[in-house]
Amino acid sequence: MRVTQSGVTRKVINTINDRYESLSKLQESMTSGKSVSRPSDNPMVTSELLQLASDTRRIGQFVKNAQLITQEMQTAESAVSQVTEVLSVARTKALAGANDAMSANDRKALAIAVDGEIKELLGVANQKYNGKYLLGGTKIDRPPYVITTDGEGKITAITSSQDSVLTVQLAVGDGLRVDASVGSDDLFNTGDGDNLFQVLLDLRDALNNSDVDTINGTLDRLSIGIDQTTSTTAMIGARINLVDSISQRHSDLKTSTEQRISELSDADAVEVISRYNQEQAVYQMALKTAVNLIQPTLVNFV
Amino acid sequence: MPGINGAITSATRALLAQQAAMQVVSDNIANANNPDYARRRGELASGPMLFDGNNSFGTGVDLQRVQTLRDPFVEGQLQRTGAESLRYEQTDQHLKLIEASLAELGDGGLSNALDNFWASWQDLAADPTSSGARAVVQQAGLGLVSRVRSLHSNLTEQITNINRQVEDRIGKLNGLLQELGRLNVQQVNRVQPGEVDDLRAHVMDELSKLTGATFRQQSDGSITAMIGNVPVVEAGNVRTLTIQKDSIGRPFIGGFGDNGVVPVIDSGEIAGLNEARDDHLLPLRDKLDALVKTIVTEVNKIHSSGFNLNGGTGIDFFKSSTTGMIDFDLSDGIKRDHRLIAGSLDGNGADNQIALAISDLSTAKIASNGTETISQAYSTLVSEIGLGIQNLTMMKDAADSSYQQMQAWHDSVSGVSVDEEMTKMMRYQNGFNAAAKLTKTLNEMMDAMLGIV
Repeated sequence: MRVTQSGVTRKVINTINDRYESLSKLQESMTSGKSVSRPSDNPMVTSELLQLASDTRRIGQFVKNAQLITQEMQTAESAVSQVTEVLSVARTKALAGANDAMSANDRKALAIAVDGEIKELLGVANQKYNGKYLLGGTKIDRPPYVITTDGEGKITAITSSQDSVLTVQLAVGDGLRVDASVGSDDLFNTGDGDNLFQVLLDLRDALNNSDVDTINGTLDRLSIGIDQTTSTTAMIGARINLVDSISQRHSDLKTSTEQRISELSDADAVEVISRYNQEQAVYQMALKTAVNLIQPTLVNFV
Repeated sequence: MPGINGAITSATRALLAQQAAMQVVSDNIANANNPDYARRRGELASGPMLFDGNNSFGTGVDLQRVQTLRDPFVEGQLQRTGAESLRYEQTDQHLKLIEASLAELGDGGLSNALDNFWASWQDLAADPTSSGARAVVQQAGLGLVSRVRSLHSNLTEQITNINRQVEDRIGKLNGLLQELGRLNVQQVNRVQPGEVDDLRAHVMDELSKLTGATFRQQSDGSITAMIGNVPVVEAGNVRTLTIQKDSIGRPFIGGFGDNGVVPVIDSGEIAGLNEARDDHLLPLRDKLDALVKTIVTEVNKIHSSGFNLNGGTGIDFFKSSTTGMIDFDLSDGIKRDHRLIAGSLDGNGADNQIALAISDLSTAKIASNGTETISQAYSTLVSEIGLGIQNLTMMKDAADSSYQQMQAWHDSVSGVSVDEEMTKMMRYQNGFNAAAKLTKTLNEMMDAMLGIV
């Protein structure tokens, strides 16, 4: 075959361009640390990468939500324990008041103490956390319980301000929602239209009136209340455990997802460097031989 | 009767022939780097024979003909593969531009903006009464809008740009067709029709680069040019192409006035540009439009049933009149006041069911007729573009390599080898020197003869 100068030059330019292009590709993946930096580098992996990136962001949000729920639950837990404390103090007072040896005046003194406990319980029910009524459910913009007082400032009734309390839910997984609040209903309503405030008010009034039968009656009602707070505490504990394990699982999932992303898109340094060296050697050979080949023609020897 | 006069004539013709051959050599050397030039070869032939009754005598040498070395088959293949390679290159380049403006696998992409948008609703769900969380949702919404809008303007700009390039190229094509017709006429009017000259070769090259046109040489020396089996130049008759535009501004070639036949351009740059637009950019734009419309409909459906911080309801989050990316925007109310963003289903402040429902859209199969999630549908689009580029790069590499092979073949037929020309130069120089020496000797012989007188 006839070989001409322009043919050789063209071939030299083509091969040098090819080599230089692959060198620049390798250099790019060395500086970015990525083997896939554009969709066309690996279209199959691209769609998986996009999904995985979106997954990690979503999982991160779930973990954040789980932490929020844990926080709320811990605050609610301390509120519940305060309720328990109030109830046990009231129970002591009721037991004392039910004693036949007590005088009417002694019982009046106990009634004053119970009145204090009522106010404390009201404080727990209407406490605010982070600017919102902690036990208000979805109606966190108003106090869950309101009081009615007589002319002398004595509390005569405490009623729920809400007909029903819906709890707030947060997503902690795909399609997985967990209650993020404890409603006042769960804690204070003891069923059959009775509630803890009513029990304490009845106790106070019975002590004032030295009505021993009613005092004895409130003891049973208090026991129901104490049982209820115990089970609420257990429920809160269980929920914290559930959220913890979910968030633990999400953290694991996030780690493995990130690992998968890195497997798919990170450049293998050893491989890239050795291929770079190889390509560089070829490139330099191409340059060197090109100079030797193109320069001389017969003209140099005529 | 042979004699000194005949010898002098022979020597003189030799001198002239060597000089003429030398001119061919210098022409070749001068054009060694001209890509349109095909090397020439001077063919020397002995002069007519004289017979004196006993013997035949030669009468020297002539440069009988200067032959241009072209192989029509190789040139045809070269044009075909070159046009193919340019076609893929054009499509590939435009896909790479779109790939860059998608900016995926980085942080600036649409998938990131979408994730941020869904996540902002989760934040609102966690703090449903907050005005700050609503401002975050508003900003994430605006971020999504601006990403979509800029993607749209990039796509549109690129499509407009392609349309303009196609128009320019059709204009150029018409000029080239006229030029070929003119050159055909010149060629036919010559006394002796010769080979295709360099100028016509150049025009043919350009024509095939634009359209993948094919050519046939007729017996009178004229070239017939065909685009997709429709003759566009026959001898001096030229059919130029008229540009028309369809409803979405795409330029296309109208039929010829005389017979209504429409040539199909199936290779070369124009085909590549058309393919980039019709097979990739427009479908991508349509799919993105559909995706955006799905987002608008689904988000609005949930949002308008919810209650906002002011207790109002029935407000759209996105503009409900959205027809696609072009007019994608937050609704006027939401853009003005983020307190109008609804989070609650039952009207209670801390209810977050609307916010939760909207953030759940991120994993709901609402795109592609309910078979994929939004982000799945979008990542399919992105990987389709990537796949398109990969395929085109492969086809372009294949076309390039056969083009290079054809070029090597073409070089070996028509290319100038400087070494070869140098050897010829020395040969003709020697020949000239020898003929000069001969003339001198003959001159001395003539002098000697005259001295006798």
